[in-house]
Amino acid sequence: MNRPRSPSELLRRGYSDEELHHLYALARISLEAGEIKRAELIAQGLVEINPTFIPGWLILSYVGIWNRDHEHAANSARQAFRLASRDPASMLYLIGTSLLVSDIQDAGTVLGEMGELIEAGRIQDQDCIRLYRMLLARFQTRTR
Amino acid sequence: MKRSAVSPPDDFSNSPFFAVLPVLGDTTKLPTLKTSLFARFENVTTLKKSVGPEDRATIKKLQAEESMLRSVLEWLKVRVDE
Repeated sequence: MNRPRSPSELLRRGYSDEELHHLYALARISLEAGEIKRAELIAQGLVEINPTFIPGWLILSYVGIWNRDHEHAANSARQAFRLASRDPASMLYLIGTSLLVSDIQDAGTVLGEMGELIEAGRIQDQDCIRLYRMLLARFQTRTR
Repeated sequence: MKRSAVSPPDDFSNSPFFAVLPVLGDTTKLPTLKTSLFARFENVTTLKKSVGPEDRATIKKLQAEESMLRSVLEWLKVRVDE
């Protein structure tokens, strides 16, 4: 006779990467459509199922920015950054949200690291580079 | 090439932080997952009832998953009864 599985054991069955990606895609287009609550609920589910799913944390950070809940935005960005400190999107979200919560030191540190990666040609996405330049200008204004 | 004055702004102009979000997955594939997502929803709802109130971590996880699945199923126009 099989031992009944505990709830946590059943939850560990998980979702495939493909399923997570399709669910994330819905969260992303929900943001684009202004359906912020739907995006938030999906992203919260994704990071509870898989706490290492970085795009889920980025969506939560975006929702925090949108809702002007800057601490929440920054905490979510830190989660993404802890998981992928060389990922351009994670770096940009950390920089942006750090500026929102006046954490100038963190913003400056990551701006410096990102600047080096861009100069070395390791980041080539033009949207990332444009946002980097915007945030750098914002940082320089704050530290003048 | 000069941009037309009536062309829509690019993603970056609308929202720089949105533009740098990763592009992953395909929402057109979600309808093919309808049955399995609904089964997961029913499973999670049932599991939630069997978890003791002291197991807050599991309850939180199940609640988040249930809310996520409910949102997705509603988007897929699948009726989800309370």
